[in-house]
Amino acid sequence: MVCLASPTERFVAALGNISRDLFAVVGGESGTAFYCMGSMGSVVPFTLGLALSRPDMSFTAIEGDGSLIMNLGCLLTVKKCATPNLKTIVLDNRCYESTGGQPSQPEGFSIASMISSVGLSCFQCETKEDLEHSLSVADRHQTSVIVVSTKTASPGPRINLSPLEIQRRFSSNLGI
Amino acid sequence: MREEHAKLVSTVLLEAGVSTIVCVALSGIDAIFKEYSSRRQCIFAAREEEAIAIAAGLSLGGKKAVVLMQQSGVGNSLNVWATLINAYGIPLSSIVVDRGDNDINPVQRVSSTEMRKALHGIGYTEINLQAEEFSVELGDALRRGDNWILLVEQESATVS
Repeated sequence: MVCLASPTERFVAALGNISRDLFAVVGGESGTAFYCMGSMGSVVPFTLGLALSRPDMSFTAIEGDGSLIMNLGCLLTVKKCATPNLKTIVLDNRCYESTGGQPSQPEGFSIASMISSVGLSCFQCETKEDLEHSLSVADRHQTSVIVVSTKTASPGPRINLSPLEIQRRFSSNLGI
Repeated sequence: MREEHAKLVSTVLLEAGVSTIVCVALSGIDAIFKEYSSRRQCIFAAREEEAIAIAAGLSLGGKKAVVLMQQSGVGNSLNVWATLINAYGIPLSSIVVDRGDNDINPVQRVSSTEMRKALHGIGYTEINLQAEEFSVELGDALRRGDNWILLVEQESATVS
């Protein structure tokens, strides 16, 4: 996902294992990623605000299914704003992995179906090939969401930056 | 909020360079909505914490944004304020419109009282819209970047 990103792509990752996993790939020096360590459920609206403020760049919100479920109303706001430079990736492991794997969804529930019902372009990915294909076509659709079925795995290293350092590096990278 | 106050608040926001307001629907501030909606700079969020997160992104991206909410929304906002705005040092002012502890709705009266206690704990600036110089005070609060700005249209309640 990161390798396929354009040079103007910036990432915002949800708290817990998602931020740690992204940090393991992107690191902290470049300032191209904003690692949330709290405010569960706020990654999508935060990234929406960034995308609205900087139409010259592209932003990807990386959410977990449990985190997204905390704030489903934001999907309607995303639909209303219809920002072309916002992409959302939902890592769907059907549980709250960081707190011990408690189930996050009822049996048979489909996050992708729910997102589609809002009127957002939504791609469901089961394989790496699905993901590569979805990433390559997502930019043709306004405000797309990519749901990736995942399994639990060992998390990346703890982020060794303070929240203020993360913000300053990200802001500096935006040219602010 | 009385219409003449809403118009003055709108003027203060514009003069302070606020380009976007992010809000959850609340009554009494039609003048502000009209002013900002006509310039396509009014974003309606589904919930107050979402409004703060959107405004945080706008702010970090270089836009001067302000959140508008009713006092009942403060409770919905505290986590994202503490763990995104405060923790990450993102400049953002949230303007809280207080329906007051003499509102016709008894639950709003409770909300007004309890919200004030919550804000007292985290720090806020109170501005009384009945005061002649309220627009100056509001402008100053926005320029300072005060996190929580409480607008009231009555005598201030005492926090016990």
